[in-house]
Amino acid sequence: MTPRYKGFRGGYRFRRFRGAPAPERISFGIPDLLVMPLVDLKGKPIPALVKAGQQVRAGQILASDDASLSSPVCAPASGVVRAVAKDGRVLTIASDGSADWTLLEPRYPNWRSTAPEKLQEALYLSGITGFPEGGIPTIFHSSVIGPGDVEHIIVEAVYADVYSPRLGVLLAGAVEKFASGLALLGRMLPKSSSTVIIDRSERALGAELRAALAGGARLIEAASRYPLDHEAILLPAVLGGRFANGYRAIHHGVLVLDVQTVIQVHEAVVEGRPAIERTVALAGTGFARNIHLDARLGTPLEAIAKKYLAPGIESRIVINSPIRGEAVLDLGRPLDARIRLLAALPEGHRGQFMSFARPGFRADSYTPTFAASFLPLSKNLGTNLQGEERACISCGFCGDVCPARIMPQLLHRFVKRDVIDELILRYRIVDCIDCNLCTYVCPSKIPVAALIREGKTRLAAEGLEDSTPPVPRGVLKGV
Amino acid sequence: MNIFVRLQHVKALRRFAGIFKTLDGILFGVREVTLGAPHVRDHIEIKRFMSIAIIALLPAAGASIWFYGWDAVKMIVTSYVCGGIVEVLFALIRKRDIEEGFLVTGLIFPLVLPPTAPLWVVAVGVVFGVFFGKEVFGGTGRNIFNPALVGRLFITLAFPGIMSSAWKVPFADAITSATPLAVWKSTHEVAPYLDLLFGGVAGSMGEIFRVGILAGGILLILTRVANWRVPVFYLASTAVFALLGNLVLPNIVAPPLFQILSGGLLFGALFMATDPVTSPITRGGKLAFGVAAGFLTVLIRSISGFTEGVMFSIVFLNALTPLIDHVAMSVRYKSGKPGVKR
Repeated sequence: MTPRYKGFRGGYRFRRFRGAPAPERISFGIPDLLVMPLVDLKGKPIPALVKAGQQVRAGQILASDDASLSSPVCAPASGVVRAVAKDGRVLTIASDGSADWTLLEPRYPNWRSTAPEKLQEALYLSGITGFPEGGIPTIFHSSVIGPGDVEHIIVEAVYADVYSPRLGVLLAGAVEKFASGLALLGRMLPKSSSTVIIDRSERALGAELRAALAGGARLIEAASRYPLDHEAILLPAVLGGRFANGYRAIHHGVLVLDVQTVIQVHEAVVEGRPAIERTVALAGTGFARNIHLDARLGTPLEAIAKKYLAPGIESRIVINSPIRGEAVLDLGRPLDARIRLLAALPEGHRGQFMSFARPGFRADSYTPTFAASFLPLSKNLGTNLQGEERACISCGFCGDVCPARIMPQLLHRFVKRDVIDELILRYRIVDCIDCNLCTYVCPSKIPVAALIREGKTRLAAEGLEDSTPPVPRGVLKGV
Repeated sequence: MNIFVRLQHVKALRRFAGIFKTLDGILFGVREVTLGAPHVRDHIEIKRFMSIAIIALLPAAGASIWFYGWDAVKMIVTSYVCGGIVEVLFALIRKRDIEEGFLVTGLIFPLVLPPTAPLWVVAVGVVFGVFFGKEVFGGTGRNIFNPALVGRLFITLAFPGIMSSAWKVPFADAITSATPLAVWKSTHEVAPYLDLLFGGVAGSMGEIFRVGILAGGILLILTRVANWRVPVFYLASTAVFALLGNLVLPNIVAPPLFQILSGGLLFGALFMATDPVTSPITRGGKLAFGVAAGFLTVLIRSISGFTEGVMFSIVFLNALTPLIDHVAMSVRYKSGKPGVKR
């Protein structure tokens, strides 16, 4: 029996921000130079099968190693291999600008009658098995767990963060492909059942999906709040049970995928089309245009920034989430399959006159103390701290929004006062999922989440660990 | 660079850098940016947080000025100036930022005084409250007691004559010793509810315009500046214990609605018991705090020599807050479970 969708307690709904990606999709084209990292799931290099100077076609395998925990890396564009880095971890391709690509082999238009192992092989050779964080399990060691260990597939399609790619864009004309890709994955991983969790605001799309899935997968239309997209919240919300913090969904036998990857599974295995492109949303007012970009994997982020950053605005580019995403420090970093959104946040080095007393027509807050809470205006988002750091007044906002149901208002004090002992462990500091929401809402501008992280690190350094983890370690897979 | 930033770097004025920093922050906002994830922050800040509390106090403060004219203004100004000096001095000596919380304390304090209180008493009370109620504990966020209540308690015990026998009904010149609670104690006469609601009775200058207090309290709760649990449980518990007591001992315990609408209960429950620093942080603790405060208030009002028990109840429970939280936490995280492995 499937558990009822429970949702989760706490969290915060980010609504109506300026710079949200518009439902517009354009092709970025093929950059002159593409950069492909050649590393396995443990960060070790995968041996390259091509040499500098060699001609390659888009979709051709550049590197692969069946023995290590890895998936093949395919050429994202046709051209000439310019260089393989000395340490073997990066390969660069000088593209010839042509849009042609290699038809993948093998492919299975009649996949419903194909053996799971054959489908696994096709998917493995397309390189898609390396797209999600922990890999898609196949018999070729493409993930930390085996294909028989996957019990659930969850496709996460919610608008939980400040900015999210529009589902209408990702699924435009591809609902059937999506349903087919998901069913194919279900056949490939025979012990798994599938769930799609879609944002409730996308009603029409939800209905279309329901029809296309035709009962082959469970469809949840959820009212999403941050951080529903976080694995530690998503799994218990969708499947019930508890999540072992510090581990990934894949260790729980759950494969979490995004919409794009599922569509690409269909395109690769059924149509033989290599997965060389990803759609990345450009969000935030630091970009001149907020659109969805179809860009080749390996496109240096610098190329995107150069073309789309708004001139005259100093911006910080953040990957996927302004709340828990990392800032791009090296623009030479290439686009990979885990980047689904880039947010350009204007740096807030300028103070505002009497900022605390302004009506706040465009100010977001957990407290309904700004005009923006009552008016349908879109809100600004920048990196200004929005206030001076002050002593904790125990207002309790952090505890109210905490999705892990711990008490950050108490725990951060222990860490600040250097009290790292059994007590904070008993108060479940280890349950913190690093969603950073406590820091976001804090009116005293205390880096609550960072302090809790520090507390967890120091606990571990002192050799104190949780003797009653929510999930017994023996149940976890691939650990 | 604005003038206050420049002044912070003037060598001769280094001692006062904290003041310039505060002025800079108030006028020109913050120029700091986030250093990592989360890269963005909520716009609420302590200045605004405390401003909301002050806005919520405005009906009560405005009414006290309407009722008692310049006397009220002088008391409020005295409280702000004297308490402010203590606050700023401590911040400068400790080389810490000046905390905005005082802006609320400085307004609450005069509002819980009788309108006849001499200005020197206001000064002594606020200085004592800020010093012994807050600064000696390490400043904002570390204090155990509500500073305004500590000041009020001190002058009540030090100057009982001034603090408990010289009241004034608004717009009347005569000094009276009879607040509605005192009248009930001697004659069992219940003051008209409309007078209680709109300030037609004697009492501390900020506690008698109860419609305004309720409006301010609701604003506090709706804006999340105050948590609803403590005031709701406090008032509910007062009503329940007053009802039960009044049924059993009608000559000793006043009826529930009268209890709620008289004395400092509404003001105390909505503006003092809700002080987040000095009330419990756990949900269970807030419930216990509210229920116990209601019980104590009814108890003190009914059987002690004092006519009013709100201040004593809250101060007493402030002292118990760490214990209440401790108990609530050990229930929530049962200590029987090991949970720890070395």
